[in-house]
Amino acid sequence: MPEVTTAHYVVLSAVIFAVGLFGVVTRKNAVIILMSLELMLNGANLAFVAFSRHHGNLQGQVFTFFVIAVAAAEAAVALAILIALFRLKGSVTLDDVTELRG
Amino acid sequence: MDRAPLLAYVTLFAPLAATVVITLFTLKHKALSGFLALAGIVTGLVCTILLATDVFAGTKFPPHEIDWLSVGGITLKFGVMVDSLSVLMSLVVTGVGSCIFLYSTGYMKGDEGYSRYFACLSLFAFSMLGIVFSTNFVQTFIFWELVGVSSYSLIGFYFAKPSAVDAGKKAFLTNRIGDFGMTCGILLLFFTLAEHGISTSLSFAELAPIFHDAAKHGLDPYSGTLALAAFLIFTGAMAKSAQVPLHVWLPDAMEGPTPVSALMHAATMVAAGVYLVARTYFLFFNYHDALEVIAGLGAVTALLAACMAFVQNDVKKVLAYSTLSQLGYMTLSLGLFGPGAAMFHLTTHAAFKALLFLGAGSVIHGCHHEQDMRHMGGLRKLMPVTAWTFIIGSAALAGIFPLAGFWSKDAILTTALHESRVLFGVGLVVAFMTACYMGRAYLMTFEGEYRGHAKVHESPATMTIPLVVLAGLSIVAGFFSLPIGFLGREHPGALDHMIVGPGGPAWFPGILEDHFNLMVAAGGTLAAVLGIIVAWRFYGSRAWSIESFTATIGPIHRWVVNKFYFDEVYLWIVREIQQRVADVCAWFEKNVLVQGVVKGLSDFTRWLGYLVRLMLDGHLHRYVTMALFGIVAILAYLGMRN
Repeated sequence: MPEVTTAHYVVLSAVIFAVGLFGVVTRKNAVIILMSLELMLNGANLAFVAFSRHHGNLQGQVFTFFVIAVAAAEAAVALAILIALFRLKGSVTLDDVTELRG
Repeated sequence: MDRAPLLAYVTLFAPLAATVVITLFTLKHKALSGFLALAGIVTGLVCTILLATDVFAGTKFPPHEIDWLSVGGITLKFGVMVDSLSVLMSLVVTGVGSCIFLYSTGYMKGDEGYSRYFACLSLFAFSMLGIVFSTNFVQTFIFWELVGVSSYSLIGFYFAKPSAVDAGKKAFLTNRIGDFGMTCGILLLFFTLAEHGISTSLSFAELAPIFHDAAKHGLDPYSGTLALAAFLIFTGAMAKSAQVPLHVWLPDAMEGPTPVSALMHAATMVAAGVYLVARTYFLFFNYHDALEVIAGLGAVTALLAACMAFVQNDVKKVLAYSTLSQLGYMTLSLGLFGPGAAMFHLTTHAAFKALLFLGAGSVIHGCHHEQDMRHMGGLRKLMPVTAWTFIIGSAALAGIFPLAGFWSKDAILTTALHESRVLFGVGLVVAFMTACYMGRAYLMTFEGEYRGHAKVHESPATMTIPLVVLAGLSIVAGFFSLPIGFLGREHPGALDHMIVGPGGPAWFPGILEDHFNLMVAAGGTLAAVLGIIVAWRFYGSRAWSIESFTATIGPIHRWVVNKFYFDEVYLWIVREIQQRVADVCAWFEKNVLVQGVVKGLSDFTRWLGYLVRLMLDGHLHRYVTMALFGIVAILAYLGMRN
């Protein structure tokens, strides 16, 4: 069985990030977009941890904890907004929410 | 700090402290405000007297200066100059000032703006003392402007009265013209000296030796540029001291309360110009052309103003034109190598003209704000103190022996005779006219039958005490010039020693030292007595008819009554020339600057914003996509650069 190197982790993290980005750009449903965002964040987390091990220090892991904490807060706020949005419009499709156009 | 500069600083800042305390704390407590202002100026007077005992005994003090601010290698200084000239002037300002502050506590009683009045008056005292003690041109200029501001606020003191507001504006604007000239003069002086490799902080003590030894410092003693600088600085003096053609503001300034007219527009502020020239005489001394112009302007002012004083019916206006005329006298003397005589006349004039104005104020107060002399008459019996002090003041102004005006007028006439027979003649004529119009004013106000309706009463003691004090000063002030030991000074007729500042008269060859000349004294007295007799024939015994006289000189009379059409000419200039220029500027601004540049810029920005707005349609995906492309573009750029 081949050894798993840092490069493998980085490629995986890039793939996860790209999948998340694709979801954010193409999906219309706000909940799906949120999930895709979480994917992007986790892709970044993976890269942090991989480089942390590669360099032999703990800075990357510390960052990861921050990202997880912020992501949790973000999810809570975002879901609250979505619920409010749903009560207002009866839908969470972003095509229906264009009030802030210039 | 030594005792002398400390005393000078106390003199300078005591009135400012009074202003600050009154403005911040005691606006509601009128009596307290008046007391504080009076305390401030009296403190100044006491300090000045202490200084005077030292200075007039011959002690010399170097100017005390502190660095105020440094910009680009130039250090501006602030300080006090304690010498006989500044102490003499400070004596005038605080001495006459104290009398007038005391008088004001009575005169302004019951006025709404009592506290404001005293705050402004104290501010004026501070500004004026700032000029007096100034050590350099920059400091002088700052206080010069402060004096203008306080003058403006006091002329327009009754701000509900449109004529007072207009007079304030007129005074301020006319002074701006002179101040502009003065600014240019100071800058020209500074840069001309810089061109010759002399860097200065423009302090008088530094400049005087440079100008005295001009050649040694590589300066051309007869250079036109420096003469121009001197003359431009004189234009500042010309506006403050109301010389033709910038005299138009002074008569209008009589709209202010009468004590203000006495303090500022007769005794001190208008003397600032004369003081400035005396202080910076080293600047003018080499430039005989500039001095000739100054002398000529002074003579013209003295003559024209004396003419106009004859046709005024407002008692304050007579005094205003008389002040103009006397300032012309002083300027004449300045131009004829007589700064000492000019300062001497300034000192005595401050005493008796302040007395006359306060007397007029007392009359106005007693007649319930009647200023027209045609509605007065016979007041001598009703207001004896005012009348007798007014007689003393008038006689002093007319130059009757042995009152103050006699000595100082004589000093100026002697100076004039030494330099120019024509100007001496003008001086004599003006002396005759002075006696004549003062006789007219006195006779119309105090003699004959009372022609008014209000019930007249003598003024309260707060107003008559200053009158008596000033009357005393008007009698004795002239003895300064006598060859007797006064305050330790023993040199006969040595006024010029006091006056010329650093270097003393040795630096100014040709300045007269002995002022008394019996022939001149006889001539001056004769002119004055003749003037009084003529006034008596016209207004006392009515032996000559004033109506037939004015009919005889018809057109001249019309010119004089219309003040030689100065105001009309200025109005025409403003209306026809300045307004045209302003119209062109307005057109340019409206159509080119605003329509073209300003509007063009805003239109461009709006168009750009419109373009950007097209992209922002509210769809989140597009924003994310744009951000994505943006990041990719940035990464690509960074990648290519490496």
